[in-house]
Amino acid sequence: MIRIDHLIKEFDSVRVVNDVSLHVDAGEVFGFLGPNGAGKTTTIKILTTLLRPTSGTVTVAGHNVMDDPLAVRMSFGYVGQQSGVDPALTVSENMILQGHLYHLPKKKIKERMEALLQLFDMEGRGGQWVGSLSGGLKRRLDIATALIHEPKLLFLDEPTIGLDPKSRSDLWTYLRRLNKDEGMTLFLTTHYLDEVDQLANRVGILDGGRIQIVGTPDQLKDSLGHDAIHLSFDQLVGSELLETFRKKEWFQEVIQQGEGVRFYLQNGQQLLPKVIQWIDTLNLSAKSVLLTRPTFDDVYLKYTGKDWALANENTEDEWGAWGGSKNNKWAKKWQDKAQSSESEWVEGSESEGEQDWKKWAGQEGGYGSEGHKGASSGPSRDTNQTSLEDPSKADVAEPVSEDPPWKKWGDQASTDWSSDEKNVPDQAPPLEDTSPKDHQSSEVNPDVADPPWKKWGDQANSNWSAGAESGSGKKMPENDEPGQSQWPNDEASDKNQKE
Amino acid sequence: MLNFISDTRYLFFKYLKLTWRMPMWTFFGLVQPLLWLVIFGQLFKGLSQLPQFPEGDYVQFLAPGVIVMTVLFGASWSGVSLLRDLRHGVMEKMLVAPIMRSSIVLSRLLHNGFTVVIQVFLLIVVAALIGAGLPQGQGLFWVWVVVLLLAIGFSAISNALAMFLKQEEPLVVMGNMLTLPLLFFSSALVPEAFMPPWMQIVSRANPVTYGVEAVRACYQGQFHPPFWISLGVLVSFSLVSVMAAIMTFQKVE
Repeated sequence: MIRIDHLIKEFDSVRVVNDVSLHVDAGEVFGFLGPNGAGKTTTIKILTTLLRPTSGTVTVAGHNVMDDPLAVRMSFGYVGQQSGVDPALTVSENMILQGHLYHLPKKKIKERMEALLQLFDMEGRGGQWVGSLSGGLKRRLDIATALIHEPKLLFLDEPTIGLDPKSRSDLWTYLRRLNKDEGMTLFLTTHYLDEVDQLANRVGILDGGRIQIVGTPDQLKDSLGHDAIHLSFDQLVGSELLETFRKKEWFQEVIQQGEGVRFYLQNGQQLLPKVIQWIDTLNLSAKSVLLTRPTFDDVYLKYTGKDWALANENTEDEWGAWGGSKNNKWAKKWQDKAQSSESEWVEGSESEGEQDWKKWAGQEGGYGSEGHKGASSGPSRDTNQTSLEDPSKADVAEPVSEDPPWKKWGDQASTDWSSDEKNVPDQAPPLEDTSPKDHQSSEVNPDVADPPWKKWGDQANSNWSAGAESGSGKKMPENDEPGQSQWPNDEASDKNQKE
Repeated sequence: MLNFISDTRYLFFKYLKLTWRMPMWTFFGLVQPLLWLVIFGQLFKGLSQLPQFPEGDYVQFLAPGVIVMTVLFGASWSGVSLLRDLRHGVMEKMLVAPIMRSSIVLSRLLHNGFTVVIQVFLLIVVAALIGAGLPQGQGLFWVWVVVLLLAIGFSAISNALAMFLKQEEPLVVMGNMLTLPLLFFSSALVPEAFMPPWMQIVSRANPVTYGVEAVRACYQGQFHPPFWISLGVLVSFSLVSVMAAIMTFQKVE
């Protein structure tokens, strides 16, 4: 029915399909499997005369796609990735139009339409708007419409994409019926492994434009061995160990998948305990073990080297396709640029944040020392002074004060900063660097009634005060008045003053 | 050949059905040119007092301009509905059917020409009511030929662009970028004498200019050589753009 020999398709000298040869007999259900960009859709478009092969011969139903495209088009039905039926027309209008486009006489169109609606359990829906149909029904109508001219071959490009599980299995039933009852040849591409497993007599796996393997689903699974052992480890297994695994005579195939390793072997049940013992001798400990039959997932993993879930993440970008290679280059350039500048930015912001932080700490040091001075000269004056001169202290003295200016500073401060301060009242940071000194001050001035910074000192975060100290060390000489010297124990400020 | 005609006919009726089923859209399509006529008629009314102005009344001068403008604007959006077909997979289904690509293109262009003709019919009636007069003598026939040629020519360009760009946004941008300059580089809104010389030269390369002049000749009933030249230019313009559109459809990689 389909003969593809050494098919090559290039777009702008990029090989999308690379030397594909494939024969599909009449009455077969052939499943074409592969990740996005493997060349499935390109192949199906060549088969349906939407694209021209770069080289190689392609014959569909005995007609060469290059020499006689009209005859080829007459011989097959096609269900594309998008719906293909016009949502602004009714079910029967769509089918009648399709019949006319295939040049059928009116009477024939009517007969076929009735038969097909019946076959797909859509009787009585002829007058319904296509736009009002559910996804599953629309897909059925799609297939029915494609069959109006009684083709012996049906191409389906990802037929069940976007359908719910029920609609999918329904659709499979219809497709099976078409194949069994009508003897129709089906050629389908799909992403879904279970779809191929359920429907196809034969499967071809395509990756990177090449056919990796063709066979019945069971053949493909058996090629891996009778059983599969999935072992997962705590860390990634190195390539040396993988080599050791591969050399072991028990295994037919060893495939790494993330932190796990899959072993394929003939006699899994008996070998499993030995395998685990052997793994132990290699100083590895398995986190989990699973013994199964190889699934299509395993087959896929082997022949495309890709994990199913990972492979499907890269979806084709329509914009990229539109812009061509030039656009992609630009996109790449921009991406690179964005990435590099992002990293720069992150570094920059960090260092800037740090500087800010130091600056703040320095300023706070100033406040703190002033506070000490006030404290030393007596509690009454202290409160007085603070409320007049230093808003930070005013707020400390009266924690409920309504306009705390450091609220503003808090906004400017880097986020790590504020997160460090969870247990400290928001006005505390400015005064925090007093913490190393506050016990000294209370020693020096035992008469001070209740040094507020004692409280702050207790609450202070050690990281914070360390940073603040270094900051205050720099700034103190400028900020502090000579009165500062009354704390001889304060080595930092003392030293600074000496300098 | 028989298949070609019947394919084109079926597709043409399909598109007509689609238009018929969007009555609101069609209604706005009809109302819009009337708005142009009223708004521009009021806006540029004073122009007719200028000494160089050829016609006595601005509305008389403007009516052919708005007719061509309607054709231009209407046709330049026809590519958008092609993208709709592409998005729904309808186009793909047509492309794998055993029909000629040219019948797909032609059915679309004929449909577009048809809807524009209906719009223009209404416009001519309303323009007559507000004092623009009617095409004279055989102008009543030729005005449709001119409108159809312009509509097919411009929708062919729009369809070719749509097939080439395959995206709505760039198509809309391109459409805007083409239609307004084409309009202003013609004598649709102001007489040619008002343009600076370089604009006059550019306007000679603009099919819209010939369309406006041909429609104006129909209104004045003057079928002298300049009219036939305009008609000739329009025929070759639409032929070339239809060929270009068919070629973009037939291009198979």
